[in-house]
Amino acid sequence: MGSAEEDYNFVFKVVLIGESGVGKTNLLSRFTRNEFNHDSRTTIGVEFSTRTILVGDAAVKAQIWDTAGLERYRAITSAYYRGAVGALVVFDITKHQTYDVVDRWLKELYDHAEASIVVMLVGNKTDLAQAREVPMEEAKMFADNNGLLFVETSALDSTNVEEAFETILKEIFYKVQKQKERSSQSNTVSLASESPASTAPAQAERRPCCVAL
Amino acid sequence: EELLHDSLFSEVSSLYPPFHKPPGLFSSSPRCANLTLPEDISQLCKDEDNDYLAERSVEEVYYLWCLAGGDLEKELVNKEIIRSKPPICTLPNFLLEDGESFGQGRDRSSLLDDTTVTLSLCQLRNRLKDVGGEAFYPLLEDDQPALPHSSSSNELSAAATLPLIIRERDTEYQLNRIVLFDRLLKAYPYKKNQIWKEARIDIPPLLRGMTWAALLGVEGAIEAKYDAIDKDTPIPTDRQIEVDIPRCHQYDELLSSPEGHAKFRRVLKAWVVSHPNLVYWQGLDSLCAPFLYLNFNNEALAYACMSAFIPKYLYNFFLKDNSHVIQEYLTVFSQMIAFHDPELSNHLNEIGFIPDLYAIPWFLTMFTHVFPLHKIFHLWDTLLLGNSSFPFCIGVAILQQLRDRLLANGFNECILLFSDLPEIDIERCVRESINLFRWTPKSATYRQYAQPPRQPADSSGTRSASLSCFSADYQEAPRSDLSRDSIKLDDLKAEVSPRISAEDLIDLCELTGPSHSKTPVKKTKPSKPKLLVVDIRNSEDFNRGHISGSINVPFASAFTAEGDLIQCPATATLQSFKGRVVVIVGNAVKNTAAFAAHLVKNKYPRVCILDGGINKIKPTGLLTVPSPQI
Repeated sequence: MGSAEEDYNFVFKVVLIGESGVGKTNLLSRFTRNEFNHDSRTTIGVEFSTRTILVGDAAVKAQIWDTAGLERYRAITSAYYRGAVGALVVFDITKHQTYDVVDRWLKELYDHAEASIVVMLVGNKTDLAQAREVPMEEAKMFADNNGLLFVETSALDSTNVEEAFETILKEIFYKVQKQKERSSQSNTVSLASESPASTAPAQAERRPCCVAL
Repeated sequence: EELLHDSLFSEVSSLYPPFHKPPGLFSSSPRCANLTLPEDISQLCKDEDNDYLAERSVEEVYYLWCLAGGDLEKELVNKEIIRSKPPICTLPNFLLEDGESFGQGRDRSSLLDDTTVTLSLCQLRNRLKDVGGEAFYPLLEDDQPALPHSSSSNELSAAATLPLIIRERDTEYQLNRIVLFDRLLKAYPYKKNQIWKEARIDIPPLLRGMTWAALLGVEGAIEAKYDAIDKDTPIPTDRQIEVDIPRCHQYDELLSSPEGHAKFRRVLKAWVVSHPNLVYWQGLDSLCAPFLYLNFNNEALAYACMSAFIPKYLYNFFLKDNSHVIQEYLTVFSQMIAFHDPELSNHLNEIGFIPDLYAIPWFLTMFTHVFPLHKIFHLWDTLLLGNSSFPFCIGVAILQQLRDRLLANGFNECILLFSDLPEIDIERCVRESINLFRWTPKSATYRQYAQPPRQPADSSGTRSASLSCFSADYQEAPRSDLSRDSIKLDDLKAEVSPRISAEDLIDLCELTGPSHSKTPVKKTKPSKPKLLVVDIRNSEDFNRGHISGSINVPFASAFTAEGDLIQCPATATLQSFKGRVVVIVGNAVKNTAAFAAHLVKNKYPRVCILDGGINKIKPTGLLTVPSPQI
């Protein structure tokens, strides 16, 4: 971890959810380490990774929580949603079943996360276009109807991965900025100001100058 | 075979004795029932200069041959059976868009070649030239020292003190261990106790699969049982198993092979189908991996081991709704961190880095999800000798290896550290877990959702005798009024330090009283008691009767507003005991727990509270009333 990595103004907690085997872990490793692993191990519970990107002049640190996909893990992992300001709901475009359950994942998300959370629907594995089972238009329409951002990606050939994360982080950033203007609080930033500070401070403003010391 | 009985074949049939499948190692049928000794027994010991090595199985000899420096691939290359081509020469000359290629003949190296190559045993024999014949036939008397008295026994016992990794590469040492374990395993379950004893020293890698099975108490007709399970009918879990297998320990050649995947699938399915009250959780695949790897050609044994392992160490972890089991487990783990390393515990709690965020994959898979196979083997060699509380100590030992980095960092850095767990020194981890385990009172890791005690009827005598408290479970001990009571999960979560039972306290204090006739107590150095009992009731209550040797630090006057200990003679004693086990005893649970929490905040390790408080001790008649003080 270089010190450059440590200079950031915001930390945003983003969760990755979706059925098992859709490629959540690889999306994450592609974004944070530019790596792809054909047989990356299954995620049990939750794993994390971070990367700092620039949005305008501000350095935004994305703290991404990669969760287990198996449905029954939800019972023990629902606490992971607390304090999240963004969520990527991932499905596999070559497996319709993984798209069918997006509804359930959204419900799960809204049950446990704050209502203002920014959600993006991600259709992964576009490199396997010949085996596509979910038409892009269908997913796009679903996203529009539910007020979600939408993108199709390939963690394997890195198509749109960067864009997906950048889009959602920008969206969160602007939302935060807007809210900051509304509530003229200067030091704390929260999408849902009524929520108390949780165990894991999801987003916080940090001055680079303080970090160097 | 039937044909041979026909009169037509009467002349030749005697040359082909009918084949009897030898009874499996773990079957209970007598294995020597049909053994006939020759009329003249002296014939058996006639030949003097026997080639003992030739009497060992080919697997063993090959294994030792490799240890002695044999390299099969090199031999095959020398014999030109493996011919390697530079990769550039394997590229096609011409390629069509649809993938058809031209210009390369079929690679012949992938075809079957039935040439027989004789491997020379010279090197191995040379290495073993000083090994006496006795080494091949060790006597299995119960009180025999572990290693045979051969001419080189001094060297061998020297080898026994070397690091495990070196012992595992030592040809002569391994020969001795393999021969010994082979004999013990052939006499299993009769020689179970001795297998346990030897396994505490180390387990020869060649026989690890069998030894683990013996440690897990696998017995009976395992093949028949496995064969009877329907592994073919599709079940809803199939999809998940298919998704998980290609991601499980795939760096290993065996487990990533198509054959490996097929075996994985069958064993996992067999387990799921045969345990209708439990379900497949991701992680079960990792748990299966070491057993499958070690018993790659014996699926039934892999299945039997896994089925024996899960109830012992992961009882009810695979329930459909397991949250109460996991939550209790993680809470006890938190208390273990506080007990053994208060400073680390304080830090982790401050930054909100709770076990839920990192320890679920550790415990749900008994560390098979976080370590590569070669580390799992060494970890489990010890884990299997321990009881179901031992994993807590492994968890604490892992945290302690990362201690400095955890203490120096905040939440963000800590979660990153654990998502990509740094190298853990497993031998050190094992050593430290054993040490932590020794410091942990048995009842401190009590869990109400742990496996209920087995009926005494089923422990058919062979086991209990020699097993130390290290391997026996707290839950297995008979319950009494002095045992721990179950406690609501929320209450448990609110307590930083573990509770211990009155039984444990009496044991640790080596108290003896009228109602407590124990086996002769070993007196350790009387000047250095193992623990300090801190009675936090007010001095009136204390003077009416207290545990002998306890000190009185009334809760109300113990701490400053900042939470520091107030200086007085009693707290000075407490300070001098810092590092030893401190048991807090009081009337009200709330106060005792708070007192313990304060001590943890002040970095006191090994703090625990007496479950049930002083009232538990009262009926035992162990309280003493001091003579009036001046």
